[in-house]
This record gives sequence, structure tokens and C-alpha cells, in this order.
Amino acid sequence: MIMSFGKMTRTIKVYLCFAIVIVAFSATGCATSGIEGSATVVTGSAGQTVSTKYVIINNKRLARGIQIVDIKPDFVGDVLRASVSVVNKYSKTLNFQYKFSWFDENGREIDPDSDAWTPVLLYGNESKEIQGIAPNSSAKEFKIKIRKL
Amino acid sequence: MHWQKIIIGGLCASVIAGCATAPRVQYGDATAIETTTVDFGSTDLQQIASKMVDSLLVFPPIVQVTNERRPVIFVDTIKNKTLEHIDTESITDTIRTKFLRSGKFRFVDMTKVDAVAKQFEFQESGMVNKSTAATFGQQIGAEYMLYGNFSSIVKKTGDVKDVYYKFTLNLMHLETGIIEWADEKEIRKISERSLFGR
Repeated sequence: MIMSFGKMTRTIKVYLCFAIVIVAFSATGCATSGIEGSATVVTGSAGQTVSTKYVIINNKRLARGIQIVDIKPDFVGDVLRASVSVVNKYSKTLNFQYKFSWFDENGREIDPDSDAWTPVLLYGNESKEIQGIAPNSSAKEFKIKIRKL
Repeated sequence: MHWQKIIIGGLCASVIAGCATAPRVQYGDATAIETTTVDFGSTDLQQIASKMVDSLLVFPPIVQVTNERRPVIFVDTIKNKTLEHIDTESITDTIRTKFLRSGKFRFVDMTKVDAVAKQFEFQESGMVNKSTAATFGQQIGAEYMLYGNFSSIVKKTGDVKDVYYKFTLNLMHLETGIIEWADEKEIRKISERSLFGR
């Protein structure tokens, strides 16, 4: 039943090569991981707002095209506003989607899944500021998730 | 030749087997982006509600008002001027829910006036204990009215259909008649038919 590659007829080899190529192509489209940016805001000892920010890259291929340049949290009244600057490092148009998640001062998520994925278009080498407003005034931390569209 | 027939036969059998089974059902992500058709969809509703609520929450004159108290708003209709059947009340329901959950606004529901009147009639009919009955004439009057328009522009050629949606929302102060806040959300959806599938 099992034949060596050399003994197979030419047409069988062609079919096998096609099958391998199709499987390889379908596997590349499966990655859904993305990039995450996060910022926590606390009130310092002198009453000033102190923010800690970090970026996690789960998808290196996506990170080659989209870069989170800056994360700026601030308050409008008592509601947390998130401003995230992203830049498209490629010269072609990129389509991606983002979603904000909001956490209170204990790190618990507020209204999970109430923010929907939003599509964004970035032209070649364009930088854009993505803004989000917290659902209520108890939010002290936010996370932005970016994924390919 | 023999091997070729086996491979082709196997492929045909798997295709036919696929046609014979029932469609596969699974739960999807309600917040995922939906691009099934160019018509109004769930992602458009979510984008509109999100933008309108965010915009009003951070508008400086409104922030000034909400710092002192929680203003009372009622929602009038959104006029659907598109060619599609769109449930605009569904959009305003989402917007009103988000506003209420922000804790900065209060709402009165004009669609429930008849139901409330009926309940008052019942409570004053003598069947209800007077000490537990709701007092008539104590409802809070609305200060602001939320209303808007939803329009679209559709362009179509042989292979391309381009739909542009524009949702406008206004907040009017009832006593003065002044529109204190307005914002609009534009959405463009394009459907292209290409020669080689994707």
C-alpha cells in the first residue's frame, strides 16, 4: 500500500504536491492572535494621575505592519478616555479591527463584551489616533486589542 | 490509472457526503464584525451607538451639566430615510441603555405612557391598598429630547455596490428649543464582485 515517492507515477506526485500546497495555504490564514496595548491610571500621592502602560505582541506578522506608537489615558470629568496612536508601517492600505476592554480599580472587567470589534482602515504609512471612552466612571484601566480584519 | 480513479472517486464521495448532511450550526461572537451583505448590519448598529454615546459623554457643555446632576432625557424617533427596512428603535434602545449604564443620565419612556396610565387607573380603582398606591402627578418632566435622522446613498455599477450611511443624532433642550449637542456617524460599505473569487 505504501509506495516510495520515486516509484509513484508522475500524476500521483503532481496531486500530492497540490494537496501539500493547499494545506500550507489554508494553515497560514488561521492565526487570529493580535496585539494588545494596556494602561492603568492611579492617583499618585500628590494627587497627580500616574499611568503605567505596556504593549503585548502576540502576532509578530501583524506587528510588522501595525505599531502602537503611544497610549495616552486621561480623564474627561470623571470618565476615563483612552487615546491610542497607531501607525501603518507598510506602504499599502491595512484593514484591521480593534476593541477596548475596561477594568475598575480592582482589575475586574466592567461590562465584559459590551464593546464591539470596530473596523479601521489605515492608508499606507498613515498614523491614526483611536479613541475610546469608558462605559462609566469606575474605570481605571483599559486594554485595546488589535486584530487583523 | 488505477490510483487516479481512487483519488477522484474519494474526492467525489466527500463532496457528495457534504451535500447530504444538515448545515452545521454554531454560536458566533455577537461583537464580531459582520460583512455578510452591504445592507445595514449588527456592526453598523454597534458602531453608531458607540460613537454617539462616546461623543455625548465627553462634550464639554454636557460634562458641565452632568457634573452637577443627572439630566432627564426622552427619546423621540429616528427618521429612517434609507431605502431599507431598518428598526431605528433598536439603535436608540442600544444608545439609551449605554447612557443609562454610564450613570450620568436619566430617561423617561414615552412609549409606556398608556401602560402607566392603565396601571394608575387600576391602583385608584379601589382594589389597591391606598398606602401602597403610587401618587398620581409625581412623574418627572423630561428636560431634553433625543432625535435624529438616518439616511443612505447607494451607488451601483455592474460589479461594485457602494453604500454610504449617515446617522445624525441631536439633543434638544425642551424649554429653550436649543440643540445643545449633535453628532453624526458615517459608514461606507463596499461590495465588489471580482473575476477570480476572493
